[in-house]
Amino acid sequence: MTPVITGLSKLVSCDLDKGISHMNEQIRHMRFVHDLEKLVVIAVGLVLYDAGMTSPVGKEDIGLYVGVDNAIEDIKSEYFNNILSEGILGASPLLFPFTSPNALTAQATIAFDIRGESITLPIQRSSKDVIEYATDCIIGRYTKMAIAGGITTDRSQTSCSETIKAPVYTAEFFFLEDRKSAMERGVKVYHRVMDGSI
Amino acid sequence: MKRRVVVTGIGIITAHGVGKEINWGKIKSGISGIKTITSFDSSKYPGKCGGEAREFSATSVKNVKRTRLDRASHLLIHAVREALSETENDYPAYKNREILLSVGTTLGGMLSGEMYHREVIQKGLKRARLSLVTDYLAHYQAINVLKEFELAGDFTVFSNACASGTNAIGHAFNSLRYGEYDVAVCGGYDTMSEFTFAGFNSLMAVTPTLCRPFDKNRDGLVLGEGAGILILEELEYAIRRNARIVCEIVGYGESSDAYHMTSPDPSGRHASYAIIKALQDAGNPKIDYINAHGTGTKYNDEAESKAITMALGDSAKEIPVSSIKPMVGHILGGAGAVEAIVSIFSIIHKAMPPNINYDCPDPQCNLNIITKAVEDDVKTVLSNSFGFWGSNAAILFREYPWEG
Repeated sequence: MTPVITGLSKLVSCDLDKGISHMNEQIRHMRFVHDLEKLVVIAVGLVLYDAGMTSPVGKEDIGLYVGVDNAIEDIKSEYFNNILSEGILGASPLLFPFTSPNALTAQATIAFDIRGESITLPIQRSSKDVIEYATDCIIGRYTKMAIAGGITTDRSQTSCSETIKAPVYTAEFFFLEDRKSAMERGVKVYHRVMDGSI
Repeated sequence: MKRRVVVTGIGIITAHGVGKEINWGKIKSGISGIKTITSFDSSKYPGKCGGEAREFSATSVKNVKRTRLDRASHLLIHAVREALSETENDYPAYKNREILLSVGTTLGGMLSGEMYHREVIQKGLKRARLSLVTDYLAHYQAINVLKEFELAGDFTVFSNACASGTNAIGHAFNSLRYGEYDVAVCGGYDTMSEFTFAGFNSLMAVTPTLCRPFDKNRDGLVLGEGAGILILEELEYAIRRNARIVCEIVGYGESSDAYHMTSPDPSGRHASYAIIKALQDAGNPKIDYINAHGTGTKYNDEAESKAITMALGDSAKEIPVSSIKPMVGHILGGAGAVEAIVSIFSIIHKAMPPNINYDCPDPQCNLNIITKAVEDDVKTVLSNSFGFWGSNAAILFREYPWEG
């Protein structure tokens, strides 16, 4: 078993509009609650496209593994500040599910009908851990293919435009599969993965 | 080649108290630990009760700053200490060995975050104490455990909603099987916080009455808090050090619904894949008892019943099933771990705990729900965890030694 990378995507929250133009009609018309969610969905869509996968996927043998740094705290803050300022009525049933980090992962599984494992790791160095975890899952044959990556927040850069002040998020994803599977599908191979390193 | 993995230590804290004996005693007896919440004013919410771990206030620590610890760290460290105490004679050996710490949580240090947010609202951003958030993020509690017990190795934190604890144990199980580690400390934890309580109430998912999993009149879940920790060891390693082996983990499976943010896929089809994967992983053994996720919400219990039936076929109607959530509450990231421990207790003590508050059978949940503790020769147990956003996980425990 030799895990290889057959798809890549990198998207910054400032470029969401550019990213979504590559998505199909269904994704373009999805309702998003938060930019983070939109970022993950589009970045996963781009990596699927780069890896030559059709969407919707509709398969149980593709897992999605996402690492989230403290980006999710921005959604939690928004939700909790509403409770503190407006009392019990401030608890938004729409926003509350997004306070769980796996919300971002799950929205991508729903958008692209990815029915394999979906795992979310909420730690600072999550992208590396996630790639290592996904590689192990391929080697252990728990999943045939894996989309692995993460979201990082750049708080030093707090704006994508002159008028809107918001943290800038970056999503990076890799499509991983066994080299044999990549050869069978006839897709390009970027790199080999060894011990979670590329 | 896959290696065999055994459980050699257990630590547990729930609304029933601290430690294995008190928890198993009360759970087997069908005693409820659910009471009106005292850690915050719940009177304004439709649901007012929960499973607070009232007998636990804080744990003693020597290598981390006690004043800066969130309650989540206290719960986790205490449970890890109890689990490690079973391996006391050999514990120093762990210090020189790479171990894996794998834990699940949905909230991390949320109580600290709540305090910080309150200060921001009351005093403004510049005057709110940043020291309140030193143990806020979801991976800090794991770091505190490594520091407190001077453990070397790596850690992984899962935040997969209510499946997090089971995911953490499953990851540790796989890591030991494939030879990455010989020893793992794994499990899950979560605290009772108003943040979550308000959220589940806003979704109208909290029962204003009693949590009644699989009952026709069920009307919601009840939240809880606690921690559950297992020490896993590779079988040969455990035998070499003459460890007391509690049971063996034999199968683990995960899947994703890809359906909805809060509702499970009503067909149960994708949840059943997690169970089927775990069963196949274990070589399709006979299941003696199912510790269900059983939240007491209309949709979860129905979907879980279908998933169990799809995965186990005709035998599903015969296998005893119960949920312990009406007794200790839904511990979210800790639920899978605490329920895994209760599953192990049922093997050790040869008895299955009751599904309390169950009065009226629901034809949509056509399972063998047990309402009183049943004593039997329990050898193999399935424990299910199904979380928000369709995160599904299932794990199988078997008695050791196995003479099947």
